[in-house]
Parts: sequence; structure tokens; C-alpha cells
Amino acid sequence: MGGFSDIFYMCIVNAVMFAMFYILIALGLTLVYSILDIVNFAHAEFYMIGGFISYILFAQLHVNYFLTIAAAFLVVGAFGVLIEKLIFKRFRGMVLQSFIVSLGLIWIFRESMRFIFGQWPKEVPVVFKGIITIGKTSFSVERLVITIIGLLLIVGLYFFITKTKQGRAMRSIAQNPEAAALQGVDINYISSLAFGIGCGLAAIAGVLVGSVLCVSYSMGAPLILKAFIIIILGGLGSIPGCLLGSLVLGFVDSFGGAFFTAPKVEFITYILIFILLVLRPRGLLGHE
Amino acid sequence: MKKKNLLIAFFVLAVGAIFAGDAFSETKTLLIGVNAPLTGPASTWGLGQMRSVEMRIDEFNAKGGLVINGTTYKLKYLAYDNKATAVEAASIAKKLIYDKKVKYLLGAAVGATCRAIQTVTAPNDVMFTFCCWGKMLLGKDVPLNFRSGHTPFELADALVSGIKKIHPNIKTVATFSPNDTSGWDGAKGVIRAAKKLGIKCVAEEYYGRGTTDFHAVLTRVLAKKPDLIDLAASPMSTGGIILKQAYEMGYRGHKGWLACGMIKGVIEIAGQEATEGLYLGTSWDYYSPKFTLPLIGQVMTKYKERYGEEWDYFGFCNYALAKIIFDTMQREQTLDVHEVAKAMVAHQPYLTFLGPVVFGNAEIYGLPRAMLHPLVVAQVRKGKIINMSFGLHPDLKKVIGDWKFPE
Repeated sequence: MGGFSDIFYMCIVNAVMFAMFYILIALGLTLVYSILDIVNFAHAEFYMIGGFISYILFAQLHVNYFLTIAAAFLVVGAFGVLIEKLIFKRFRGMVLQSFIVSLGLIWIFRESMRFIFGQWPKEVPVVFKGIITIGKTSFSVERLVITIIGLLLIVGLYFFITKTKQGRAMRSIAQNPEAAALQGVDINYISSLAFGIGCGLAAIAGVLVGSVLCVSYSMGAPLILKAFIIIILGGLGSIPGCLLGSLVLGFVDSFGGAFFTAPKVEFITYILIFILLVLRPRGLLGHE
Repeated sequence: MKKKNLLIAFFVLAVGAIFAGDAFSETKTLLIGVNAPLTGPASTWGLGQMRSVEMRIDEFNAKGGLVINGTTYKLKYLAYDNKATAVEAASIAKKLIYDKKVKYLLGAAVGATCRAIQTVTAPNDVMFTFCCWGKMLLGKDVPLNFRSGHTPFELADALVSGIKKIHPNIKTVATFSPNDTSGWDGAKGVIRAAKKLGIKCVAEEYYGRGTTDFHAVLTRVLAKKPDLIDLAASPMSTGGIILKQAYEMGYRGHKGWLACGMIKGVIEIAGQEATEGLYLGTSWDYYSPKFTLPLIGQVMTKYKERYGEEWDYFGFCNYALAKIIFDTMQREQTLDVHEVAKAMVAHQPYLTFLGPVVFGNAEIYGLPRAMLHPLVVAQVRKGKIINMSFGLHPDLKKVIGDWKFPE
């Protein structure tokens, strides 16, 4: 790698891959916020739990990778439903209270996993081996596959939200919970389902990323801030906004990182968000 | 009659002496403080520090404790979690010193917390041992501070010159290190050592702890075509990720890691191909007969059996240091921190499972308080760690001469 064009193409590749990774985390978070109107700061811990499920099932028990993804989605999703029913249900619509509760959950989840698995990161074997080189731009097959799976998930979620009965119910609650209830929508059931799906999506991200990076009890920590930046950037509660926010952040991180040092890139990110929120407080595609 | 009276008197005196001896001997508790991050990402080091003290104390207590001037001291440790924050560390230090009257704080990690702790230990004449890097943590202002484990000031020259000797064509280096005191020390140590050998630094990268994606940074760094990438003070998982991603992006140059504490985990994370040829300064094969003493393998096995995981380099160095301190107390028959500190330096070298140990490097710190042991340089080949050679810091060599590991 050497010339400017090589760096430019690598940055484009990185940006798309970053964006896809961020989308996987932020999508579930924005879904939860849009339906339940709660801020779940512990969202990234479900991603961490998904990572550990891939460690147990795929790395240790050699379960098929795609079955592992499905299992992580179902197990963490069900766990998310339980958490919603036991804890978050009473805080629906209460942003501050749900935020504080989720902070407590972070410590519980993290320390539980540290107690069970120890403090050292765990390795998950590479699933899709190989490196693709196009000109002077190289990237792993693994990251390409993650990008493709991410796209499929987005498409799948889109069809779920727009074409299924439960998806339409979720959109109606997001627009107006009282009106949705009057139309016969079971608020409790749909809210729990949305929370479960959100957690399940985070778990899938944990499985996908587990083999790219590694799995540890603290792997969720750096991501939750990025996830919140994305949903604020895109507009709270807006799924298209979440996708756009992920792309914006992906490009900022990629191009910024290629030309500036890491601390400067963080600074640039926060300045951009500040400017955006001043000019457009509801975010890029948020509602008024 | 006189003889009988004498016999009775003797008998009474003998019995009296037995019970009198018992009356004068007593058992006390010697509290040892541990102020380290026991939760959170830095617990990787903090737990290793705490367990080093725990294991040593158990060993000494199993032998009856310390006997100082007729008094038996059972050792007991009090460990508190400072969560790697300076405020918490200072608060805990005050609690240990003012409330619990602790005079020995053994084991700490993370530079910022160590700086906070020493603001309390130094004015209160408390011995403080740690693995944190940072030049200001040792010296004449803090004569009771001792560091276990090597830092860039002890490591960098040996490692970089060792790599350059094997690969004389290396002309450029890029460093990756966390953006904090330890990270800066590590990177600057490598750069300083490289500069002495005519190697130019083309990239000096610092990242926030917790960063997991380095593709953007690597895009920029690899464009400068470094001959050598050194991971300086990178933690295990992050360094493994950097190696993996650099490999994926086409980097096939030389690699070094000044302070890799757990290479097995790195190989698992990065993969065999990405770690091939990696040179290491603080990780080696503890079970190899080359450049090790048999005891180190036994120590590592003991730790793994007890705690179920591998021990980091800084943890087992503190284990060696704790023994030196307790042995010195016993030998000198004192718990006075100043006397113990003075005697620790006066009676070196100490033969430990690391090899001979001295306290030195006064040239850098002003006082000989850095624990020095034979530096084993290792390389990763086909997923295995191969001990390549060892070196002795000049201060260590001055004391032990041409000491070698037994064949």
C-alpha cells in the first residue's frame, strides 16, 4: 500500500465495513428506543453475551457457525424478553430511570461474565479464512462475510418491520402507543418482542465480531458510546436514521483514522456531532 | 537435704522457664495492603498483583509466619479494588494507612493510580511495590517504592538491539501503544532505543484503551512501509488484534512487542500466521529448558492450578518481590520499612525462580529500586514460543558477572 489512491480505496472499504459493524449494534438499540421509549445503556452487554455464546458453542463445542448465530439470537433474545418483563417494563417511557437501571445491569452482566469466564479474552477461531487483495487493497474474507450478513439482517429487519403483523404493530406503537392500544395492539407483548429482537440483533453482532476480534467481558464497553452517537446522529428512534448515522460514523472513523491520530479522530467526531445537533437537534432523519 | 532442695529448685526453674517462654512469645497479625484494579479491563494486571501477595502470604503462614524478635506474625492481606481510578486509589490508600495502619502496600497496577497512591504512602513511610511504569514512581523522593518487572527503561535497548542484530536491514519502525503514561513510556522507550541504532521512527501511534478496530490507523501506518512494528505497552487482546489486522492488510515485515504479558492468548487471538516471527521482551516459554530455571514452570503450574488461568509477567514478578521483602524482614529481624528497604538492596543478589535478581537502574531513577532479572528474548515460530537468548542489565551484570542459565 503506498499511493493516495490506494489509501483512498482502503478507506472506502474500511468505512463500509465499520458502518456495517456499527449498524449491527445500533439497530437493536434504536428499535428498543423507538418502541419502548427507554434508554438501554446495557445494550452492548447483550452483544458481549452473544460473543460468549459463540465462544461456548462454536469455539468449544464446535457447533455449526450459522446454528450458533441462530442460537445466540434466540437465547439472548429470550433473555432480553425476560429482562424487559422483570425490569424495564415498569420504566417504559421513563428515560432517566431506565438509563440508571441499565447502568446497574452493565455491572451485573460484566462482572458475572468475568466471574464465570475469567478476565482474559477468549479466542474464537476464524470462520471464513483468507485474504482478498484487489490491487494494493487487502481485507479479510471474514470481514466481507460480516458485511454481507449485516446487509442481509438489515433487509430482513426491514421486511419484518414493514410486512409482518408484529412489525406493523411495532411501528404503530412507535408512532402513538395510545392509538395502537385502541386498535387492539397488545402493548406488553409487542414491547417485549421488540426488546428481545433488539437484544438478539446485538447478540448476532457479538457472534460475528467475536472471531474478528476476541471475546471478553469488557468487549461491550467501547461500543455503547458509539452506538449512542449513531442513534443521536441519525435521530432518536429512526431506523433509517440509524443506518445513515452508522454510515456517517463509519466514514468519519475510516477517513479520519487514515489521516489523523486516534485522539484527533475522536475529537473530530464529537465536534461534528455537536455542530449537527446545533443545526439539526432532531438528528439527520429524526422526527420533530 | 541440700541436694534435694537444689533439685526441686532446678525443677521449678525449668518449668517456670517453659511457661515464661510461652508468656513472652505472642502471635500478632501483620497486615499487608493491596490497592489494585480488581474489576474492569485493568483487572488483567490487578488480579495478578493481588494473587501474588495472596500466594506468598499463604506460603509463609503455612511455615508458621514470620518470627521477629520472638513475636510470631501471621501475615494477612487486605485487598481493595481501586477500579483503575486515581481518586479511588488514593482513598483506599488512606483507608489502609490511616485506619488499618498498614506499612506495606504490595502490588498495584496502572500508572495513574500508582501516582495517586504514592502521594499517601510517601509522606507516611509506607513501602509500596507495583508494576506500573513511569519514571517518577521511583527515586529519591520515594525511597520506599520498589518496582517489580521490567519497564522500557530496562527492556527497550536489549530487545531492539537484539532484533537489529538478527535483522541488520531494519531502518524504520512504527509503534502502537495505549494513549496513557504506560503507553507513552513504552513507545518512547522503543523509539529511543531504535534511534541509538540508527532506526527512524516513521509512525508513533497512540490509541484509547478499548479500541478494537485499527484498519483506519493501519491504512496510514502501513503506507509508510515500516520495517518493524513494535506494540510497546499494548495489552494482550489489543496487541493481538493489531497483529491480526496488520496481517490481513498485507503487512509481512518484522514485529516486536516490548511488554507482551501473555503471549499464548495473543497467538490465539491473532492466529499463527500473524504472530510468526514476533519478538518478545516480557513473555517467554516458562517450561522450556532453555534460558529458564525449572522452578518457574512449577510456579506457573501452581498458579494455574489454583486460579485456573495463566499468570501475567508483572504478577509473577511481584510474587518474587514479595518473597524478597518477607525474607528480608525475617533475616533482619525487623518490620521497620526503612531498614527493610536498605537491607533489600544491601544483600542482593537474590536467587529466585526468575534467576538472580537485584535492585538497580539508579542511573535512570536516582535510586536502585527497579527489580532486575535476566531478560529472556523469545520469538514466536509456528505458534510456539522459542526462547532465543537472554541478556543481563548492566547493573545486574555488575553483581552477578557472567552468570548463565544452567544447560
